[in-house]
Amino acid sequence: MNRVSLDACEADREADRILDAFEDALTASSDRLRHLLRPSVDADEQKAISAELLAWLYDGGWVRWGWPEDVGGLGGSATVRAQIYERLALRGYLIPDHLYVLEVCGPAVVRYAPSLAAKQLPSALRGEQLWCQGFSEPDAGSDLAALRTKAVRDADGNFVVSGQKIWTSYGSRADKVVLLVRTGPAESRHRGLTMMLVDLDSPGIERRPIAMAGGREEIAEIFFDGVAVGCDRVIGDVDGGWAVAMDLLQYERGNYAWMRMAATTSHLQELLQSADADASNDPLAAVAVGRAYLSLAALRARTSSTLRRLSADEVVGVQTSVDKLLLSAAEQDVLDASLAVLDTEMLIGDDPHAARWRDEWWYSRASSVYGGAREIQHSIIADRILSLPKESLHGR
Amino acid sequence: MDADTRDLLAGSIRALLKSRPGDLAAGLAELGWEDVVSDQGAAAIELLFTEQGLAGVASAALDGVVIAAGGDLHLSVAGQHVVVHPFGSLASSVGSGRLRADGVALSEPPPGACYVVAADNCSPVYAVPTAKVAEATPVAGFDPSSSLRRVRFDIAIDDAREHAGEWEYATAAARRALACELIGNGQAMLDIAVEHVGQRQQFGRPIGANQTPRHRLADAYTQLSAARELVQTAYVSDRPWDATVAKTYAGYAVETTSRACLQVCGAMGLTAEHALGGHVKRFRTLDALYGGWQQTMRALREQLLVTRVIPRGVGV
Repeated sequence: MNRVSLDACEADREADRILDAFEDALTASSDRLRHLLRPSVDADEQKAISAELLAWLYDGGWVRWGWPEDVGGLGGSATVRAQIYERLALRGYLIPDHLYVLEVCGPAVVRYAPSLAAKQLPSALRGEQLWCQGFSEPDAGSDLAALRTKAVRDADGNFVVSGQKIWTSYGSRADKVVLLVRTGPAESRHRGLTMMLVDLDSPGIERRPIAMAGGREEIAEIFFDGVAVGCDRVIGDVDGGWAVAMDLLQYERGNYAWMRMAATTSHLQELLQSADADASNDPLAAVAVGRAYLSLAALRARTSSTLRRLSADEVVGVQTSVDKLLLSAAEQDVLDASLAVLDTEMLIGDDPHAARWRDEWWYSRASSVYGGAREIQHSIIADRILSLPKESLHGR
Repeated sequence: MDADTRDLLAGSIRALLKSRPGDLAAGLAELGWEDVVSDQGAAAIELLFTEQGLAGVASAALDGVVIAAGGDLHLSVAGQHVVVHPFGSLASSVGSGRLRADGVALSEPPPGACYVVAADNCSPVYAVPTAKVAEATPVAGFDPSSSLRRVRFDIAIDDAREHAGEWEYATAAARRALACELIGNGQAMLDIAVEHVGQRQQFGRPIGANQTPRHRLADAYTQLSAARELVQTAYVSDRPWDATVAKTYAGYAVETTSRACLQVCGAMGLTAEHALGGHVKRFRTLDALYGGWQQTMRALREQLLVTRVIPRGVGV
């Protein structure tokens, strides 16, 4: 056996040791954490639950693996904390909302703005700050490079931001937003964009929650009217925001997809446990469960390989479109299985349990829309992997 | 396996599949295949079966995989054995002192050979001299190029030699290899379809500039990519469950691929002259070996509903 694989075996054993210690710590603290297991349909209460669980995870060191020491991390591999999230979810806890944003934006902030990361990430990783991601606009959805929110430089080199963002998850409750703005001329497309971290309590910001069809208000519109942002808040180069956004999207389709996989596996696990004893005789439920499991297994195999590549600092690039497609397929298959297994209870139940399943079902519908719709991912694969002829501008 | 070794080996296998498609076993023996497998392990098997799938060539290489993984089978087997593989709903069974075999062989048994049969898809495994039973019937069926032989007999159990065997692991090894071959087969279909939609013009542009064919082929690519990852997982974990998952998903992915490719290649893809049809036929055979994807999916979900636990995934 060569040196590399010896090291790899050692690393695997170390990861197993940490994961076992984590399971033990979770068991030892189960009384203290029990109230965090309760599903909440109230968004403020959910934010508080998320923050409390994240503080516990941070203080135990569990979610600090793989982050550099100067942002509060312990070094080592990010794949360790990814597996911690999976174990956490399978024990019935919700992966903290805070982390869904930090796992996507954090690595890009560390890479492109190390001193900003050192200042801002530690409190965010401890659950004291909730971040959100401000990319989409009313006229820039799938076509992100059409965005128009402007940042104009003043005499001191600082920025004044004006414009509107929409479809921002956690937007009405977050403390900070990772914002993509236009610093170049209107027609500069992806060449004139800049990424920055903006405090959402700054003067000139107004937020409106968007009532969703499922009844939740976790998504918001954010309006910026002459908001002052210091030049120390820029992530990457001015006019270099597209590169940051593309780097960040790899994590959205790697880390984020893995976390959703873990959460969705816990949903299927819960369905299996709540199914009637004779569910195996119910062909409808059985078929749905089988399909859901298979989609999840495919997603897990794919995302574990992406996680390994990301943690080895490989550029995963367009291949992450595959992960994103597998993610939405798995989430939708599992939540459709919930309709087959829980059946009528999910349709007419008014208890929090039924309400939460309905929430999850709606969220799974969004899965093939946000972060690059299913159609966009198909087009990326067709153009950049299969090299098929380009679609005509007028479509067909 | 490092990239250079892989390329070199893939090149040799490709050349063999092209020059001596009917005589792969002898060609592999000349290549020193046994040494390659003992040096490179699973990666060599994976490569051979993927290339076989890409080339659309049938062989009896699966027999070797089953015998090597089946516990004590390899000890008492000296090359003159032909495995009776489960196929679709065909299965062998034991009862009332009789062994009732039903399955397919991948090659014509040489004189003096024995059949290797697992009853009820579990150990023990029986060796039966081919001379004691009726000759296997060559089957044309859906896929004549696979040269299957239907093996069917009913004999006293005392006429069969019993081996302890580890049929569960033999099946897992077969399913992993077949999953690789399915992926090669699906990739071959996708390559054909990608080329076709890039060249075939209608309404003054290639049909591959239309959204529907582009998206269908992208979907096939996505599922084939996931199938590759599941095969890797199955080789890493060495668990029979993961092997079944890998072959089930590979069958499902190639089903998607074959439908999409047949559609976008239009009438041309349905002709005997076009390369697609051969791969479509081979797909149905590969899928049916050791249980078609719909059958193995039923087995997986029944187990999930009984145990009510999702098996823990392998470490990242």
